[in-house]
Amino acid sequence: MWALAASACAEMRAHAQVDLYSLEAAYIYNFTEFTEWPATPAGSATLTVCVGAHSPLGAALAKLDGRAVSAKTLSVKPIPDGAALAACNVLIVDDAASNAVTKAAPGRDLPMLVVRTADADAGEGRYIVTLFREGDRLRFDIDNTEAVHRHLGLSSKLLRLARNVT
Amino acid sequence: MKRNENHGPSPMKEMARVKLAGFGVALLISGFVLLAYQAFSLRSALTADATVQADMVAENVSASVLFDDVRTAQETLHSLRNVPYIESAAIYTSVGRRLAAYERPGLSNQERFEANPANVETRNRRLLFDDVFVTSSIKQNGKTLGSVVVVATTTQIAAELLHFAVFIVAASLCALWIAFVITSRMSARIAQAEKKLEYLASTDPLTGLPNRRAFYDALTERLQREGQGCARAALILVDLDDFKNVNDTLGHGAGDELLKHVAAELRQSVRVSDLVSRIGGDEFAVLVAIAKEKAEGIRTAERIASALARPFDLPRASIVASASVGVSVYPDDAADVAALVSSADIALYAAKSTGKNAAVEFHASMTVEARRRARLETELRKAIDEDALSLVYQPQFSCRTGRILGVEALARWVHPVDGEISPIEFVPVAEDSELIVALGQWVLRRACRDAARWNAQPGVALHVAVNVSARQLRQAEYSEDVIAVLADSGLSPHLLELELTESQLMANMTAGIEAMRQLREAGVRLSLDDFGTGYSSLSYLQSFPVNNLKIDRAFVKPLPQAGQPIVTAIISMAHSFGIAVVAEGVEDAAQLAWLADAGCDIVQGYLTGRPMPFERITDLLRNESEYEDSEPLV
Repeated sequence: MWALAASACAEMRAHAQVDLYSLEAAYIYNFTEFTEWPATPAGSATLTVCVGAHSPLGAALAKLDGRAVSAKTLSVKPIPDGAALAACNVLIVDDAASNAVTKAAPGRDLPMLVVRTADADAGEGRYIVTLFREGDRLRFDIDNTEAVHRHLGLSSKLLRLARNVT
Repeated sequence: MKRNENHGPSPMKEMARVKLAGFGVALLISGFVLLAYQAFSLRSALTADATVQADMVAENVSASVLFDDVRTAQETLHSLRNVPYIESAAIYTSVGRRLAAYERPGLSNQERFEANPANVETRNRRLLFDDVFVTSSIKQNGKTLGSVVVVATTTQIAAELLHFAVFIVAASLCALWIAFVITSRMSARIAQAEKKLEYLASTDPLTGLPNRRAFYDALTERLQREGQGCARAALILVDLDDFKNVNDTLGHGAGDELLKHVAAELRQSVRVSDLVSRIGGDEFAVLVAIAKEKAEGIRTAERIASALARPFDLPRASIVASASVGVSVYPDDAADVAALVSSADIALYAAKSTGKNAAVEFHASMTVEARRRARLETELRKAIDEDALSLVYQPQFSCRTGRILGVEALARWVHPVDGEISPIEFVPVAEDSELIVALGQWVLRRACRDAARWNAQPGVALHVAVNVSARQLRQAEYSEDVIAVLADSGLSPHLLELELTESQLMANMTAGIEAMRQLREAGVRLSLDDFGTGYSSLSYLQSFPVNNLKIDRAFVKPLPQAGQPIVTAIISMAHSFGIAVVAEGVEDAAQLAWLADAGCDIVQGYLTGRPMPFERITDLLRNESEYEDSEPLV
C-alpha cells in the first residue's frame, strides 16, 4: 500500500506534470501514519477523512478509501454538518466553506487533523498542517500548538520534515 | 660435573631451556587463542554496535522515506559521522532506490558504493578483518518502507588487536623471563641439593672418605674399566685391631679421633689416584692400581700395616693403632668384584688369626680354609642342637693334700665324618659367630648337671670350672642365666667356677664386672685364666672379685729350670690378695715339685690327670673316698 504512495511520489519527482491532487492525497494518507488521536470510548475501527463534497482532491482521496492506517480503515466522507462533524478524524480545507468549519463552534475544538491544501482558496484560519508547493516539490508547515489544542499527538519524525513548526 | 660446566651446558640448564621452550610454546598458543577470541568478540561487538546504529537510523528516517525527503534523510545519515567505525551508510526504499547515502571522507570509489543490501548477505561471510555489513529495515506501523545499510570498518578492531597482541607478547616475554629466572634458580638449587645428597650418601662424615656404597660403586666401575686393559688392581682391607678397646677405655671421641688419623695415614700411604674408603666401623678399604707385578699388592699392604703400627697422638693419649691387613689382587686372585672382596676378606681373616698387626696376601688355599670354617660353623650349630658334643673333665689337685678339688670342663666334638675336631679349631669358629653363646650355655648346663651328680655322693665337694667367652659376658641376662642353670641342676653355686681371661674382662669392663659381682653374690667362684699373658693390671685384682688365678702354661713350661721369678712373683702377689693360684700345663714331676715348693695351691696337667669322661671322674672320686688318707702329691 505504501508502495503505491511512494511510487506516486517517485513519479511526481520524475515528471513535473503530475496530478497534484493524488500527491496531496498520498501526503494526507502519510500524515495519518504519524498522528495519534485521543482514544475514543467506542474504539472506532475507521479513520474518517472529511473532504468537501465537490473538491477535486476528494476524488483522489476516494481512491484511498478502505486502506488500512495503523489497524484502522481509511474512510473518505464529505464534510457533514453540525454535531456529525465529530466523526471526522481528518478535515481537508481547500475552500472557504471547509475553512469555515474549522472556525465554527463544534469544529473549532474537535480532535481533527486539519490539513490545508496547497492551492486552497480559503483565507485565514488555523490549520495543523499547511501544504504548499516549493518548486516541483510539495512541502508542509505544522502548527503544533493547534495540534495540542485539538489533543492530537504528532510524531517528532513528522515535525522534523516540516518546513516550519509553530 | 666440573668437566660438564667447562665443556658445555649442564644437563640441568639444558633441561631448564627445554622447559622454557615448552612454556614459550604454551604461551604462544594461549596468546593466539586469546587473540582469536578477542578478534571474534570485537567483531561481533562491532556488528552489534553497527546494527544499533542502523536501527537508530531506520527508526529516524521512516518519515523521511515516507515523504521522500532526501534532505532530512541525508541529515539523519550525517549524524553517523560521529561514530568512528562507520565507513559508509545508505538508505534504500522498498523498491531498492538509493534515497540517501553517507560516506566517510577519503574512501575509494569502490568503497563508496559498498553500502548496498546486496552486499550484506555475501560480505558478512568473509574473513575476520573484512568490513562489517549490517542492514536494518525501515518500518512504520508494521509496514516496511525500505532499509538502511551500514558498513563498519574493522580498522579499529585491527588496531586494538595489534595493541592486544603487543601486550600479550610483552606479558608472555615477561612471564617467560620470570619463569626462566625462577626455574634456573630452582634447578640450581636442586642441582646443589642433589650434589649435597650425593655427597652425603657417598661419604663417611667422620673421615670424609667415600663410604662403603661409594667404594663398591667405584670398585665395580674401575674393574669394568680395567677388565679390558688387563691392568692389575689390589684390594686391601684394613681392620684396626682392638679398636673396641680404644672406644671402651678412652671414649668414643678418642675412637673417632683415631679413625681420622688412620684415614689420613691411609690416604698418605697410597697414590692420589688410588681409592681409600671407610667401609665399616673400624674397617677401611684401599684399591691400589698395580703397574707391574702382583707382589706390589702385598708390598703396599705391608707398607700400610707398618704405617699404622705407630703411636697416634690423640688429645688425651697416644695410641698404637695396629691393624690387620688383607690383600687380594685382581685379576690374579679373583675375576669379579664379589670374589675380589670375599678373597680380600678371607686374607684379612687370616691376618687377624695369625696374630694381629699383620698383612696377609690371599692364597687359593685360604678359600678352602674359609669354606671349612663355614662348614664347621653350620655343623657345630647342628651338633649343639642335637646334643652331639661331649664334655671331658681335667682334674685339679690340691698341692698340699693331693686330693682332687675340682675339674675343668672341656668340650669335645667328634664329627661324624671328619672324626674328632680339636677345640683349638672349633672354638674360634664359634667365637667368630654368636654360636659361642649357645656353645657356652650348653657346656655350662652339661657341666653343672654332671657336677651335681658327683656332688650328690656323700662326702664329695668337687667344683667344676667352665670357660666363659667374652660374647657370653656381653649377654644382658648372663648372670641370671647362670643362676637359672644352677637352680636347674641343683648344683650348689659355690661349686661352680667360671673362668675368664683378662682380655675378655678388659673388653667388657662395665658389663663384665657387674655380671661377675652378681654371680659372686650368688656364691659362684671366679677365676682369671691365662694370667700374665695380657695386661695383668694389678688394679683389676683389687677391684675384681676373683677366687683363683690360673698361671698360664707358658710360664709353667720352662719350670723348674727357668722362669721361676715370674711364677714366684705371681704366687706371692696372689696370696697377698688372698687369691688361690692354679698352675696349668703341669707335665712333669719336677715342675710339680717346684710348684708345690713355691706355694702354688692347685695343679692341673697331664701329669696329674688328662681330661677324662664323666665316668672316669666318678671312678676317681670313688677310689679317692676308699683311700681316705691319700698321699700328698709330692
